Amino acid sequence: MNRVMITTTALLAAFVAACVTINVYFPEAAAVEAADRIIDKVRGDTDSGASLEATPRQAPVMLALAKGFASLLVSDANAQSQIDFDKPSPEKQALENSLAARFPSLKPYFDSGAIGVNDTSVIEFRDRNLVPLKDRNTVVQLVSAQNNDWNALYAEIAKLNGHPEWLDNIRRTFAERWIAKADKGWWYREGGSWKQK
Amino acid sequence: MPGVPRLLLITQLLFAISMTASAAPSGVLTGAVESVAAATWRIDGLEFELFLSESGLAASTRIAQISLLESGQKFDDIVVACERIAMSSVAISCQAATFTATLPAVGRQTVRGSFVHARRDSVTDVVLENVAIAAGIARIEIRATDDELDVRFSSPELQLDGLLDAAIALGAELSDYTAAGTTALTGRLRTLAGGGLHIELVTQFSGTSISNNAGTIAAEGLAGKLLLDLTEHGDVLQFDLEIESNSGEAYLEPVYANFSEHALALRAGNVSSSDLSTFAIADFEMQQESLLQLDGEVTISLATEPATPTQLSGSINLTETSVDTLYTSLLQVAMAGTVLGDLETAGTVSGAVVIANNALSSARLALSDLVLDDRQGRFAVYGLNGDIDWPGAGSETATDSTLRWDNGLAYNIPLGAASVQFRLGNDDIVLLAPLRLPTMGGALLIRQMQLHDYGTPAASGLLDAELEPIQVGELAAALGWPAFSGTLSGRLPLLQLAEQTASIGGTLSARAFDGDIELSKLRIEQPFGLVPRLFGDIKLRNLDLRQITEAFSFGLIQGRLSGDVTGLQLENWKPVAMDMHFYTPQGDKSQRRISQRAVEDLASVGGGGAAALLSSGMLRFFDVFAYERIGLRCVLQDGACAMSGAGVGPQGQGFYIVKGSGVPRIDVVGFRDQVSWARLVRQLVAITNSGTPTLN
Repeated sequence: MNRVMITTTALLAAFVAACVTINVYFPEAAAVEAADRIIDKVRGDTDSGASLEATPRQAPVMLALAKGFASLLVSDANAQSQIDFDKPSPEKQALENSLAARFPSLKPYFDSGAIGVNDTSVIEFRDRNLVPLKDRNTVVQLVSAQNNDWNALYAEIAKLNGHPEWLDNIRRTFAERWIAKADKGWWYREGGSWKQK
Repeated sequence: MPGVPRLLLITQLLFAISMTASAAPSGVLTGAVESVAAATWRIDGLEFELFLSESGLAASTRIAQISLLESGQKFDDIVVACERIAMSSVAISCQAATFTATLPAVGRQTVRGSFVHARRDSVTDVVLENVAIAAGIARIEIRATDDELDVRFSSPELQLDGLLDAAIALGAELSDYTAAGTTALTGRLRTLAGGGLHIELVTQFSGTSISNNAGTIAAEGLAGKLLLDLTEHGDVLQFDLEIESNSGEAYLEPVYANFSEHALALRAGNVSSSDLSTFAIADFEMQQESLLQLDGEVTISLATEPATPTQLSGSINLTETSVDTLYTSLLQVAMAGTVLGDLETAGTVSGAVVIANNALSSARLALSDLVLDDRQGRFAVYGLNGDIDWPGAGSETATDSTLRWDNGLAYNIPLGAASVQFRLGNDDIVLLAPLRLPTMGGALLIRQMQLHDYGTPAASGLLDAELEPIQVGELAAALGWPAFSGTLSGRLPLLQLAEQTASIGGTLSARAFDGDIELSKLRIEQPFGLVPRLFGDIKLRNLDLRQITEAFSFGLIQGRLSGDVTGLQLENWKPVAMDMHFYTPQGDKSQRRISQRAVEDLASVGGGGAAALLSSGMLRFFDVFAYERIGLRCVLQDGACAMSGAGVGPQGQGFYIVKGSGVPRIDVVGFRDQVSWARLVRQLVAITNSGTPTLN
């Protein structure tokens, strides 16, 4: 009898241990939301940001309950709860501000097709010849500074969440969201070739 | 370029053939040669005809194909006709010949001309008139001897796009370029006895635009003169080049220059290149009117695609060169994103620099009246003069550097004239004599300063500095604080610089508001970085509250105030964490009175309802009240203040901000123990700005 108890307890313990194995995956949905918010801020499209704040989403009760129940079952729920892509940091704030301040100077060149974002979410030149000669090195400098900030921001978001290895996922998410939110006529480079939205 | 001599060879061949035909006896004669070959060329299908015309002996030669064996180029169907050949024992000549051939990028054309062959010294002269090339007309004179070919050509106006097409068709590797504009062209091309080729060109161009497909090399609207003296030997080109342009602009990533504003004069002497993309320039001079004067020896590899930027190495001397030009057209791109990436600049620099693959490897410069002004307002220096000797890596030969300036700014704090003497090493700076930097009525005296491995993760440093009493009023004005007077002084005996962190171990003492303020455990991280962080503790002792409240337009309070701010942490110069406690000092014997307005102000800060109480009832007849003690404490964390004051409030509720005494007695009691820091600051700003109390 005692042995049965011990065995059962051991099995249970093993089961529990197995259950709490932490398996942190990249939280795509949260990253998309954060990317959207940051991209809107950088591009100066505050509408969506403001509306998000003004009308906090109220999850229906049943959905909340379902979520709560689901979180009991999902073993890594605890680990996931640490993840917050909107986690503030002064560096992140400063980078977002600096990106937003520089964007209006770059926008005409997104519009003209001289520059575009690639699938690692940095800005590339598509055609320098679309930039007047006298502005060309200024735009080269702006692109270089903007990319420095974007790269620092991706790294900061990954670092803030304690997952520096997510850098590539974060880049991909930002690239996807940038492309999805791009104005009609903007160019982007995907898989090595330029495409126009 | 390699195509040009081939063209000449063909011409030479044509003449050889003409000679053969014309040497035949009189009467109608026809003949054919199946093929003739030499080491570098081959002729197939040669037919000739000699006959008597009305004007004399005429000849016609037709060649099916001329092949150039080295390059594999072939020219089909070439016809030379002469209406009247004059022959004597010394010469054969034709004053009216026609030449028909298909030229690359020009097409098939027949041109008129003449030839003379001197039999004794075997010299042949050919003149071709009105050769259509590059949408223009050229005159070509050819002299061929047994071992040399000499071609002179001139054209009043050619289109550059056509000229480029012709050059590409002749084998020049320029297919990545486009060109537009016109040029007058005269030149001479000679084969050399030992093999090789010599070309002299004089062009006068206007409306000229050139660009590579990537847009990294481009020029627009150029007008001026180009002189070229080039020798081709095997695969190596050796040339001298002079360019002058007084209009247009050019871009050689990342360098931009406008010649309409400042005309360009460029001379590159003894240049050699084997691939037309890397050029070793043994001796160059470049001048852009008053902006730029450079000379030296460089190797430049042009950017053929954006991924491989233009690479520059060499030594360059600068004479009275505009810092603004250097900065905007060259340095700024390299410094994008750093503290030096957004400057307004002025002044001139002279000296010598050595560059290796676009990176500075040593510099010896004299600065003259420089201005460096950060557009983001972090720092500025005006009237900067002096000499800098930076020997680069692994050199012990540096001489002393000196700099002096008229004035400057650091975060709005004005700095006076000073001079500094230092020695630069690899990534090291060592101060040679104490630097006294006048500021705010006092001075920052730096006795000793050393920085090692600056700009690397292993950076370290040492600072022995002292703040000679400065006027706090000037500091307050610089930082936009309300005006108040006092002095600030102290010793900053040690600075540790590691991982971009500047730690100032030391204590600053201030004498202000008739009390003492002490700043200790100061540490600054990344002072000019993305997010500057400052840590430290502040102690305030026996300050005169009357002076403070007057200075900050707060409701008047009399008495003394002490305070402790521990664990202060500023990010971007804004507090994010601290334990800030202000209180009436123990055993204070001064008269302690508080005005009605101050009560209201404090009540609003503490979130109490005292204001409403005052404005009604008999208390409103009193202007001032006596108090026993004042206290306010904020433990700031995560944007919120945990508030407390001068002890637990009456009936164990809330906390006293002002504990009154005497009659009439008034207490200000705070009940809100968590206050948003942002809101608290807004309230304080509103109070000190408006002079009227703000109520919640």
